[in-house]
Amino acid sequence: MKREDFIVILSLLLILEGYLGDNIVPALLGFSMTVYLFMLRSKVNFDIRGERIVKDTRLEENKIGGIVVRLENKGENAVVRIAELTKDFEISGAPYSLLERGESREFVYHITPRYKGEFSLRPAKVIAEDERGLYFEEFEIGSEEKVIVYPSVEGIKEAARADYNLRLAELYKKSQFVGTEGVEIKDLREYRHGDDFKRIDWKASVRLGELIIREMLKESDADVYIFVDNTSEMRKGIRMAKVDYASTLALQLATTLIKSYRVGMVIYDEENADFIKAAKSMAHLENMRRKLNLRWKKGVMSLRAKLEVKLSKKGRAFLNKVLPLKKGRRGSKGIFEGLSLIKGPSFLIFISDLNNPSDLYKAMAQAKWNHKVLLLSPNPILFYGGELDRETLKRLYRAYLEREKILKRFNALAPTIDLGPSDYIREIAKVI
Amino acid sequence: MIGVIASIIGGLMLREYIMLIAPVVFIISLKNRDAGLVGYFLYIIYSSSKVVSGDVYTYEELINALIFAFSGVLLLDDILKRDIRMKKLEIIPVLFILLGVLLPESFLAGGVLYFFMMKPSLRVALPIIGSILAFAILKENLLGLGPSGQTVVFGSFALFTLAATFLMRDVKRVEMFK
Repeated sequence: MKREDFIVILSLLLILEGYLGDNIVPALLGFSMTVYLFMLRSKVNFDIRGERIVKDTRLEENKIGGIVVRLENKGENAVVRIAELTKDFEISGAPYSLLERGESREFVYHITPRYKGEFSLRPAKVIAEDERGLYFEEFEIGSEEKVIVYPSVEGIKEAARADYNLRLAELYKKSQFVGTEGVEIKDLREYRHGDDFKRIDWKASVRLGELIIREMLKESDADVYIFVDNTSEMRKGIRMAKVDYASTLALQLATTLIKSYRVGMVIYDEENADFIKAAKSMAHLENMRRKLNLRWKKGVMSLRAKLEVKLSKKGRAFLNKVLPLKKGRRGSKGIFEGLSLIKGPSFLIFISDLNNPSDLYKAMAQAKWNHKVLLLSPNPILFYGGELDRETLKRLYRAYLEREKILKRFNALAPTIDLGPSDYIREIAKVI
Repeated sequence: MIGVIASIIGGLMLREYIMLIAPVVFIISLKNRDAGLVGYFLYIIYSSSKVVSGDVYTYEELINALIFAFSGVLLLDDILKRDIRMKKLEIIPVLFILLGVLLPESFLAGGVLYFFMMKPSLRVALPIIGSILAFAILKENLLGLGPSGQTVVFGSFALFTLAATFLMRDVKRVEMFK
């Protein structure tokens, strides 16, 4: 409903009240309100003119650029709001201010490009509203501008890191790489595509005239810890839950690895972590198998995957106060509890569907300081067991795009392998 | 702020203390204009039933009705404007309104002065003059009809004014709660 209509209805109701109540007071007030509206509408006169100056038409990805808009009000007093009609840029500090009759002023706000490439910035939209918020008018200020966005140095670095980790993930699939590397050199060999640049022996390369790679001896006594995500989203499923798959995968990994390494396990949920210390015996394997009797629950997967939760400052402060009180807990979440229990440098294999990516991301970033990290992620989209109709397919596609972004971020952090229900250990274990 | 002051003074003059809650409605509007409008809706529907006046031809009753109508419209203006600051020019009408405690006509003069300061177009006077003329010409008939007959006159002029308002010009209108 429009604000003006609301006042019209009120004035008519007052007249009706006066008629039914034999009282001229409400009727006179209702009539006065209509005269007041008549006066306001007859005074409406929006006339905003101006120009827009884009300070930099060559920007860097995720770097802020400035825009200046000069406005002149040739009509009645108006509250002006400036908006940019674009999805390629994030707008910040867009002004909202009263511009009095005959006044001219300069407004400054900022744009941050979301992607790299060449974009056109349409004329700025200026919305002028009368002082009483009943009427408005829209104006277009400035002309279309071409803005070129270059990739940022950080962006290039992140892409390089992601590429490096992607190649590393491929390497995990192709050859064994478990265990931390020692300082002893096992052998020298020619550089092969996918090798880590850090292991190039530059002296030998100069001597022999081609790139030479140092192969290091693996420390076979390094512990391997498998982190199994047992949070509620992992347990959801229609016929089979991701946690069933994760349990089987974890057990298969443990069976294969325990022949050469001491293997431990951390099964974590939203609140607790079940820790099994690394050991190297078949009895220990049986112990792990018993711990992996995780129950699934019937339910539809949320397919949610967002790294950042958009909350206002107030909302975040409120949640920070309330969430630690949940079930009387004040400590860290399960995954952090599990991490804190691992003492020496180890090789950590996380199995998670990334349904709570922000916690996992923080935990992996923290773990990278002391440990080698690998993430195996069952793709929830490939695990979807419900009926497929047009709407579900759209939802799945959106979730797939969101997950691709998340995977890219994780790949920049550590090697990440995306898994489907048929990717049992055949792919991974036969080589480990 | 003039509307809040007018409502408080009007409440004291008419001895209708329900009008003293006008500042609450104004404070709500400072948080959210539309919530303020809803609050005003409830406040005005209730308070207008408390002030009773049955005849425009009786001087005292007409003054009472006009005091309430002015304070109501001024409060609506405050709720829509949501401005706490008082402009220098507003001080004079506010002084007139404050003097209304001693002399009721001064209250009305303050209200009229405030609306004159908004520099309305001459067309706005048409429905007001029209209604005054109608009451003057049809005095004999309307006296016999009582308050309902007089509200019919106000109702007809209100409908005429609304029709003129909507037909006068086409403007984009703001949605509530958006």
